[in-house]
Amino acid sequence: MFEIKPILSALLRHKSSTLLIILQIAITFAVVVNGTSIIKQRMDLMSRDTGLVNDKLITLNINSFGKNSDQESNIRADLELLRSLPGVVDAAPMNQIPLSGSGDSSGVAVSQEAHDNQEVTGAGMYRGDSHMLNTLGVKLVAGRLFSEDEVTYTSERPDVKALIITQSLADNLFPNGDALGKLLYFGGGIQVPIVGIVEHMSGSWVSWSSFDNNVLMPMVQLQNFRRYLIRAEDKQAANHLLGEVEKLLIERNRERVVTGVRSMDELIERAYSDDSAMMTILWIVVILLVLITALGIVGIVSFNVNQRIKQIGTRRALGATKADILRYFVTENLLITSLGLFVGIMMTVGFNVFLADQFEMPEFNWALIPIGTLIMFVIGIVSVWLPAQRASKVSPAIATQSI
Amino acid sequence: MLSYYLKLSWLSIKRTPILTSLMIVAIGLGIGVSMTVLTVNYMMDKDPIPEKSHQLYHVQLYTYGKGHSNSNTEDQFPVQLTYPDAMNIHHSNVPLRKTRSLSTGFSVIPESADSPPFIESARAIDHQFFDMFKVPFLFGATWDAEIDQSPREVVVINTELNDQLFNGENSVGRTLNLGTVSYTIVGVISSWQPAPKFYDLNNGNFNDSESIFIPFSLLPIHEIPSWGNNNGWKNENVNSYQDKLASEIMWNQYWVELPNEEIKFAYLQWIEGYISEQQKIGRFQHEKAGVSLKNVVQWMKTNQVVPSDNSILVGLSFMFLAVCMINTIGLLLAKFLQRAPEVGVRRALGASRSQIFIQHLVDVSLIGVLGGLLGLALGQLGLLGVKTLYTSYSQLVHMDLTLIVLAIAIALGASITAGMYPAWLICRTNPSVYLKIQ
Repeated sequence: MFEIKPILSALLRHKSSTLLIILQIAITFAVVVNGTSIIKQRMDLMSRDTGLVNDKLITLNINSFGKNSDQESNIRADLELLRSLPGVVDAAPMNQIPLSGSGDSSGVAVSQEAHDNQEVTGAGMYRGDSHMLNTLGVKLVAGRLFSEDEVTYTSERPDVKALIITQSLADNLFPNGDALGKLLYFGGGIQVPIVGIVEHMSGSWVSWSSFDNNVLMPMVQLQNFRRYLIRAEDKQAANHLLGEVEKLLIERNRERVVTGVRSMDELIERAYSDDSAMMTILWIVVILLVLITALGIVGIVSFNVNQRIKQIGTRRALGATKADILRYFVTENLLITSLGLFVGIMMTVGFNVFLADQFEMPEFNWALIPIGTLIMFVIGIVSVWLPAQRASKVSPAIATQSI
Repeated sequence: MLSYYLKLSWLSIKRTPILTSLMIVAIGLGIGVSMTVLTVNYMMDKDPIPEKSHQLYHVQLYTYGKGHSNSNTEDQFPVQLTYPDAMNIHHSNVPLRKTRSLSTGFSVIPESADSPPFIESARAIDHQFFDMFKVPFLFGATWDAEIDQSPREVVVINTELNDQLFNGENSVGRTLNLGTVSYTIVGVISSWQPAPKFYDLNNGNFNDSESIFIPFSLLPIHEIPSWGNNNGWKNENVNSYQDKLASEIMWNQYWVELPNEEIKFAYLQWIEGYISEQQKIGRFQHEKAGVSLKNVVQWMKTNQVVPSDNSILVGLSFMFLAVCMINTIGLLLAKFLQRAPEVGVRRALGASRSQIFIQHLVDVSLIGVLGGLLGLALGQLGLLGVKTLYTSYSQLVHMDLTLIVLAIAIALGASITAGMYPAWLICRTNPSVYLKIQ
């Protein structure tokens, strides 16, 4: 009933043009599926939870150049000012800001011996005062927060008495889940007890393998360059602060420059700007390619219809219905699409093995193959529909003309 | 004869406007997409200083202790040097030119009280830096060689900062306040923006060049901070700037100009001598202790100036072009076969096969050129898009003449290749078949 046999013999008479469409569909499929696979990976990367109150946070840098400025009292006065502002929930001085792309990291170990043997796990080092956790908005799941008197203000090597680490780092170092109360080793004889664990907190470098491994320390570094993090009540208050905060800080002390006043949302956007650019380009490539292939099918089928007008007319004159003619062209197209997709799936797998080999890509999302197949069938049917309809309207009288 | 062919081609295009525009659009999109991607790649990978890229070498020393390595580079060499090493190897007189280098920055405090202080990035270097990297001067010149030994507060600024602070006048001899220290301006350089920023590939491959250059010898005096990477592997008590200067922390860069292989060999020997001397005092204890000299091209490769995303895109864009071309062959087959009866008449009237073949290739070439032009326009649009997507590349992406010629050549070459088979098929038309029907 699907007239496969006559279709096949018709296709065999146009070997080259049939082969071309098959090849075109195959390559289109391979590019579309691999392209969307990369898009999906980037989307997953970008939608990772930061563990922070993203939309309420703003950050800035202070570069002070005054000579004998007492840095500790300066920092304390700045934060007192920031915390007293309307719309501000909390603020903290910090050495680095999550997702900012710059900061400190260090290797930590579970014992001195392990550290000496280089059995270390990389982790981001976040130093700030006792307001740091509340400002970040991270959730404490075990242990306690830092107390006010644990915080040291120093320009020397940190003398840290307590640490809070992320769950991810805790699981990494202490797989038995007994991290709380244990000591963390930094080398050089430095060992500090873990007093708390936070559920989740993103690090500073989005493509770093230790992105989720972070250590918080109760310590404020006294140096000319420092960062502040401010948590506002809501997004509106945060936006308002973005425009105000530089002026207020400079009015309090003029011997400095405030730079990099940014919302956390902007930091996140910057951190992933290359990924989102890649996504945009891939979307454009995928959509244009599908469009070209669809137009190509329309062009070829239209041509086929024109060439076969007499035969169509003859078939109609011999009793074929409009639906028969329509079905003929749609079936022909489905056949070609299926062959194209078969070759395309082979190419996709090969292409992906090559890509994964060359660029250390995360695992390919196999679910995309059936989805892509379905989409290509839909595109095939949509493209064939218009010319096939035109074919079905060919009058049976054509058969009798010009003979 | 060609003009006759062109006239016929134009007529045939006019007769099948939809099919022809489909082909032109397909070629245009294929060229547009692949040229956009190729331009970005080509510009990133372009030799930023072709006259000297094989004479300028970045120096790396394997200073790690036992059991340490750099997992980020293929040869595991650290990318930067310690301060003591940068100071010590600066004593070698083998290189033609040499410079220590550190990324830093200052608060610039304008003379007039109404303009607020602002932050500028800076670089601490030696006096030969400008000569080595061919930096053009607008006013004045670099500082005297002796300042690299006995430091003084002198500074070279770029023309942009000179415009901002001194309205573009010759500011040589005037004062620039950086933080609490006053510097005397000795030179102003013209706009200089190498892309990639090959002389410092550790702090943003396409970052802006610095606007302030000061003598490296001022480091210990004004405790010039590092704005770049600082990597340590050793457990050391670093509590002050002086501690950092004496430490194994790697935070300085070093470039030498070695004009030929002999001098390069002599320099390698000098460094190896230096390393064995240092080993006597307990440094360079790793079994891989040694030196690596990489020229500009090698250094760009080591630092992966072209991100892997771009290589993926180049691959995808050429597959895109392939689809566009296959599409065109299919459409050409359709177009030419439609014209078979006309060809039959021409053949019967005495046109030779080769004439028919050439006629169809002219047809295809015309379509190819039109598609190529459309592709160039789309490519420009694409680059505009790339500029908005990747703000850091904005100065990088433009098509030069080579790329424009390449775009047209690819379009023409691809469409002629695509047209070969259909044209061959059609010129073999047997005239009698069509004459019978007519």
